[in-house]
Amino acid sequence: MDLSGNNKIVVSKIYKLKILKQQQGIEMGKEEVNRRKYLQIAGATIGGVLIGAAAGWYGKPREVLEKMVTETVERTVTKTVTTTAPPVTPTLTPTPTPELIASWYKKAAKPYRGTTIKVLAQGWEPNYYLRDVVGPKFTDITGITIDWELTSNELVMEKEMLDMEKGTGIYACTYDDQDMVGTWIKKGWVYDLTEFMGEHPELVDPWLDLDDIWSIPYCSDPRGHVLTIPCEYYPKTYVYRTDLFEDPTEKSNFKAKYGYDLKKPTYYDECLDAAEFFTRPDKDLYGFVGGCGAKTHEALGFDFFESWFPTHGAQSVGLEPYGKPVLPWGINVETWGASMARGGMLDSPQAVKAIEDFLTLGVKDAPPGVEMMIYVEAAEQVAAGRVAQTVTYTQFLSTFANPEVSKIAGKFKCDLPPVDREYFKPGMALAYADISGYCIPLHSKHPEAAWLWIQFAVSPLNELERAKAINTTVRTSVLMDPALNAVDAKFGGVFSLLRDPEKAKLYVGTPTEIGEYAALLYIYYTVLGKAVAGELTPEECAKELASTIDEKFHEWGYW
Amino acid sequence: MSQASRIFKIFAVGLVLLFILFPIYWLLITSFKQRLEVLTKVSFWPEEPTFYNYYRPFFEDVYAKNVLNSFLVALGEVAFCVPPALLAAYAFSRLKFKGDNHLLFWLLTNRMAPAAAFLIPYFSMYTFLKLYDTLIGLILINSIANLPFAVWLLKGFIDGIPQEIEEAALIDGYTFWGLLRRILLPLLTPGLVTTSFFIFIFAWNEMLFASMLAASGGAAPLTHALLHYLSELWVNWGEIAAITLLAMVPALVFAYVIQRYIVRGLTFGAVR
Amino acid sequence: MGLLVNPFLFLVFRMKHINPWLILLPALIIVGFNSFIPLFYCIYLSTLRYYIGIGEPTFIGYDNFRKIVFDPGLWNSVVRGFMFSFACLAIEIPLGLGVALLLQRETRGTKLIRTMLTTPLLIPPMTIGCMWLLLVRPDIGPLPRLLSRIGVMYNIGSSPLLAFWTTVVLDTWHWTPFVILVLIAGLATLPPEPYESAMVDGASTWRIFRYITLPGLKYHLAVVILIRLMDTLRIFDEVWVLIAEGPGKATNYLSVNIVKTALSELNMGYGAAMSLFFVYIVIILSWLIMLFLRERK
Repeated sequence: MDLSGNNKIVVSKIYKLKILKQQQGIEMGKEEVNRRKYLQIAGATIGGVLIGAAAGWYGKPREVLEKMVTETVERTVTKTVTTTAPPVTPTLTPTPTPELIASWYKKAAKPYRGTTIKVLAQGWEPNYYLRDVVGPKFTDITGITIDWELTSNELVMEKEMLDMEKGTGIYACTYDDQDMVGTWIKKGWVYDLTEFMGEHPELVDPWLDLDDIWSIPYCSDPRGHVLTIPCEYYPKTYVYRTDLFEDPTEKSNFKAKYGYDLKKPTYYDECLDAAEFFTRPDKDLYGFVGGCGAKTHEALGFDFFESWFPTHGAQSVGLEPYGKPVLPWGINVETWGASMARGGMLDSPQAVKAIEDFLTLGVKDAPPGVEMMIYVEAAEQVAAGRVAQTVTYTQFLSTFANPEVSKIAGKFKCDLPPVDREYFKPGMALAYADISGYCIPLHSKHPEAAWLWIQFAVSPLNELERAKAINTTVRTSVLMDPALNAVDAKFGGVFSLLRDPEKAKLYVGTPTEIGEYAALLYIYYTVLGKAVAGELTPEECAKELASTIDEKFHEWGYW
Repeated sequence: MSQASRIFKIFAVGLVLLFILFPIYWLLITSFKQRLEVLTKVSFWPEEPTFYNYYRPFFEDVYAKNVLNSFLVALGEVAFCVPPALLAAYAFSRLKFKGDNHLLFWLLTNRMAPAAAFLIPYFSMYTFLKLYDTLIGLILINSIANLPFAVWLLKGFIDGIPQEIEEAALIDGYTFWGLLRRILLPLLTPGLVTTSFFIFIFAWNEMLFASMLAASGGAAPLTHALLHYLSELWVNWGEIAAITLLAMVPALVFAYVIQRYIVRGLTFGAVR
Repeated sequence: MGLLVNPFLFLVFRMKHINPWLILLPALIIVGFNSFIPLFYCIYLSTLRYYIGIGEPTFIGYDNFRKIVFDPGLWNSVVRGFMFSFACLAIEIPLGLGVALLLQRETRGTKLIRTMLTTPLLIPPMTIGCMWLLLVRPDIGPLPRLLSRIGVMYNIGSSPLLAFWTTVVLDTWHWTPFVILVLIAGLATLPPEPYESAMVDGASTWRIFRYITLPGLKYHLAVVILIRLMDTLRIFDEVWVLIAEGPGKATNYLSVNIVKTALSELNMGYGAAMSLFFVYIVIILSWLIMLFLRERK
């Protein structure tokens, strides 16, 4: 609350008086005051305060080492690489034999045999695979043990930021979303891997081949230096039930009711019709579930700036690699504004429509209890066969395809998400690509051992098997490998989606201009949560979102 | 007692038992259900019962270590808290000294402070002391809430022991430590057992500190493993239920064995 | 040796002057270590404007505390916290008392029943939240199914009122056994003579209860009320797992609020100030209740 000068004094006086009165009230009930006793206590308190202040001062976060980017606030990002899609005619790198790779690692890791590195990662499919399959292989070959800490996404972000800020060096490397790269650029808390590779040429895997990893530009700073090595690439895309959409009875019923053929929706109005059509509570079937449920949780924020705002056109046209100056998040990176008055698009009609569509598709036509669900539970609903369509993280595909835990194995397909007919312009980014990777904190105790692990995790040695098991790879060569054709259908055609260059470039990662990912995320989901709860209409919500973000940018010194 | 009031009594107790035990029953049947069944049906009896939920976490996954950690932390906590608490309780109860009331009050307020409030300072402190992810660290941090509670309980018990016994012992020429060992300890057995029980339970159930200060592979106790389950992919209710039920077993056994002590112990020294 | 011979000397030297602080020392060191350092660090943090990951912490004096005075969200939390406490107490104490009265005689059946009753106390709070989540989720929980058969739409994700009362029921489920056990112990200490003479005089059950049982249980009731009041104000784990803030911030009790500010909003400075404020409230409350207790005794 903004108080003018005089009022501040009055208010603080009143507050102090309140405390004093309460203390006096208690004093009345006590026994008679023993002056010396209180002097002792006062002396002890002052001594304690001094000690505590000293302790607090020492624990103060270290000065940010401005080792990396010298510019402070201006964010004129000039990317030298223009596309993140795999090239049309890939050049397959000569694949060395597994024995060759293994023997290289063995030799390189000799000085580090026996060390234990602590790795912090999010606890889901991709990391289970790494922990259970790739990790033991690594330990066998190199003798470096990995101490895994798998936990929730929130705790991962929290713990790694705390660790890096205080410089405690608990983790040798952390595995996190590409979303944090913007923060790493701004704060300089991680090793510049390009420089690291320059300093330690003997530790660089000869078959690392960073050009083969197509999402590297998302993980680099403006100068092109790599900050994290991406380890997975999962497009967040539209998934629908083939058994429902291709069933002849359904098709004829749909045509009779809506007048056009039932097919995979290209536009949101078609999607809304299909959702309405398939919402049958008595048969425990619902039309849609948002990729992130509808709980007032960070997942809600993800969903909006990853899917709903971009597909409704709240961004600039551009795919090099994403629209500028207005990012798919709806924020203008030249003027650092979110409201239309400041060049952003978060209170535009597009944004309002996005919120409205979410309330219909993600809440009304969704299974009951969706307000208590985040992306994990939403995916559960899909796997339980309760939902006809969704836009979800493809990390879940391997579970969808597993008949032991899913009822829709073999009955789903992936495709591009629907867009808004009116506002979406061709040439805009369409959907989100969940890229996660490893970074090495500056205070890591075993950066070399960690670096070896990072390379091993994306080494061609393991990539093909990993792609077959958990439908992801970061290497273009592996993506184009014919061996994946067999499993493509099992995963709903996700590889075909990525192999098509026109479609692949529509998936973008988190813009690296975003330096305060966690804080912005908080604003997004708290304000949007109010719309879900019905406290704000979509227009009010969009307005409040835009104005809050504008204020925050002002507070952080962007304008 | 009349027939009507007996029926009423049985009915009332039955209702309360139903309320208390229904969720436990639900937990029990969920632990035997298969994953898909939990997610797709609401059945009051598992359709295809399985023991896999009990088997997997301990034999195929690493949770056996978490169980061990829980045990070690809880037992360690008891051993670490009870002796100082005993001494302190004796001081508060028998010895008059300046500021004893205030000191006791301050001690108790430590228990009342919410744990969540001091999470970040604790994290900083313990990582600075290199106690992150160690059993000792966990024991130490649990003691802030448990030690005052132990002092409080034990003080109540010591208050209940008549002072004549001690005065007689002193006249007989016991030193303080002899007094403690030979006279007080035997008399305090119900109190000590009760206090140990509560501290064991509190340490066994503690979650917030455990998740902040321990990693899942290292010193994390069972509760952290459960939290970990909740935040990962595919909330596996069956396994959560199985682990919870197993986690309850030692406590239940403990409770049943010392039941008479607990009831006696909770009289707070007001017994004649 | 001389000390043993001369008991008076022994009393004076050993017991009165040296021992109190000596034997208090281990306990004091442990608790003090865990208590003072975080407290002062918290005080230091509360004077900063500090968001993790953003900018540098800046010193702003007591601005955080001024913000507390004017923050509707915080007062909302406090009010809700108190409402929650009173609702829980209003249900748990009478219910616990009633059941304790029913179970006070130690027959064969009651021993088993008492053991069964202690089961909720042995489950970690977080798991209790988890368990109730399983019970109340509209898609896989039995409660919504059963309630929908009698026409009640039970969805705690969308109804603030239902969310609030579900947490109250949860707490009742968890802690009523504790109340029962303590009160059974208390009932066991009551002497039988007044009862016998009352029976002889022909007093009704209600009068016996009101004039004999209730006064006799005063101390135990006071203790149980104090413990429950403090614990319900501090509640965190169960609520966090069940629905965190809840729809419309219905279950945004003070602990939940603090953790959300510190961990999700990453606002350390304000979170520390709120924690101090919380501790302050707790201390004042417990001081008052302790005075009250001491007076009564």
